[in-house]
Amino acid sequence: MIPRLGMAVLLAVSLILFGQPVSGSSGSVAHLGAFTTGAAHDTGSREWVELTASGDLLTGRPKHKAIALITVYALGCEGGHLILRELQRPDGGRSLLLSAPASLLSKTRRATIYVKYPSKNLVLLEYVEGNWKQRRPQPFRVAAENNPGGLQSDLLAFSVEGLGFYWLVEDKELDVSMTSLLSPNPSASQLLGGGFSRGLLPWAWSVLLLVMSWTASRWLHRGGRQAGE
Amino acid sequence: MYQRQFTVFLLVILLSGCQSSITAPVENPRFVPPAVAYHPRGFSPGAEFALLSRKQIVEDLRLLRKNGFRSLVTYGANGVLGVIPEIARQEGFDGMVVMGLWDIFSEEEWINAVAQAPFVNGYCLGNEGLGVRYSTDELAAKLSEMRRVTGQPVTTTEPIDSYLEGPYRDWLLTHSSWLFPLVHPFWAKQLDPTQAVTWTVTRHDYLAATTGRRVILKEASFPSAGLAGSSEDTQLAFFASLESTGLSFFHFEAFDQPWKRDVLRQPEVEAHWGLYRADGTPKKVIVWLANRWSER
Repeated sequence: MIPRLGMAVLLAVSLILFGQPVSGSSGSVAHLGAFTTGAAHDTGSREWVELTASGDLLTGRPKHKAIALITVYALGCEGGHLILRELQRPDGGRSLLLSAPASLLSKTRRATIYVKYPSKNLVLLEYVEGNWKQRRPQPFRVAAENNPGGLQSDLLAFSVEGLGFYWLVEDKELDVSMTSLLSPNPSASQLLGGGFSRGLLPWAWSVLLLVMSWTASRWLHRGGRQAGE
Repeated sequence: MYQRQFTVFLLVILLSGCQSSITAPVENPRFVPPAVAYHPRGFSPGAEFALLSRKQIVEDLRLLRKNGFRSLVTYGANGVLGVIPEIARQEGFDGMVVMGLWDIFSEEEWINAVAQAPFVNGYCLGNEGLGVRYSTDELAAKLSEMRRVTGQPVTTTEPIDSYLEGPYRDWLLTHSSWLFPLVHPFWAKQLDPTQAVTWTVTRHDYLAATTGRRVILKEASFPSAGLAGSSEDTQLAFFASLESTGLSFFHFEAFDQPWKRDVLRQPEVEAHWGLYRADGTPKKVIVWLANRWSER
């Protein structure tokens, strides 16, 4: 009887706790458990983007639905790769992180991100040497890839200084919620979309859950032993 | 037996080598910065026959070379313009020399251009004339003929957006030995030098990345006067920023050309694209360029 009751209590506690949104240091962590699935949600999508040489440039074509093309000008590099990560922010916005091997990073003189997006009001914030720099888009029309029937597509191009951390936002959102981020020296928690509570809360929840699990385990074990006696 | 086979084999190799040197042009001429688009000082339509002298062109090119320029592109081959590549080599231009033909149907331009083959790295036939001054078929025939006669790479030039979309895109990509677009962000309302460079880089990089072709900007420009907001400072800011990107481009253009305003009745700004004023005195960008390239 006691073990069954204990199991029911444990299940109920788990559902209540894991069903709540939990914040992570890199933005919101979705439902159902920071421990089991939290890491995956925390980092969002992650994609290996192969870079191939095309003239003087390195060219990557991510499968990401919004990014059509990434070009990198890196003297002396004939190939390479990028890791494209997308982080979802608590406010629903998305951040992009382009990381690359050190050898490529050090040689990169410029990069351009071409975005497929219906809105021309996007801006891109690039994190450069401790500051967020605002990059205005360059809209232009190109012949569609493989040019079926002479179709055209509209792109927004963002020229950036290098590979790193970016924030793609609507211009109007920038005015409301992100102006503070354009301050000269944002803190690390600001960069990643979190504050004090977002940084420590998951750890607090972790410790609490550990203690509860340990207590429940002891209780069940003791209950089972007493029932046996 | 083996000796005879080897001799035949060697003969075939040699013959095939000779043939390819005649018919297959070098597709990617070597670009050496800094480069400049050149119309002589005091030029106006028709002046190439009477007013302009070889001496004037020697002085111009000497001035440009002294301030570091190593590559050159020209616009026409009539009269004295038809010997500019030869003079450029004599004056020390050791980079990429591209000879332009303005009127692709002019017999004089054609003869002069062919005679300059030993001094050039390539030809540019026509200038913003597709569908206006010549058709695609007419230009294609001239491009092929010039390649065949000189063995040099041959191309044409149109605004960069024509290489990205529109009715001539595919034609330009398939008929150009290398891509040689014109880039004038100012006409796309990019009045801020930084935004003008971004406009240029994003288009250049998309074109280079999606075609895999060599892209050299035939004209990259920013005026020093003629409209509110334009000055020698903004012109300098544009070229300094563009230079830092590593793009291959020709500065447009060597000297201010007042005839575009006075004779063609074009807007005031057309008379102020030069790196030098019409009288040959340097603008701020030349001082900067001379310092920059003398450091190397």
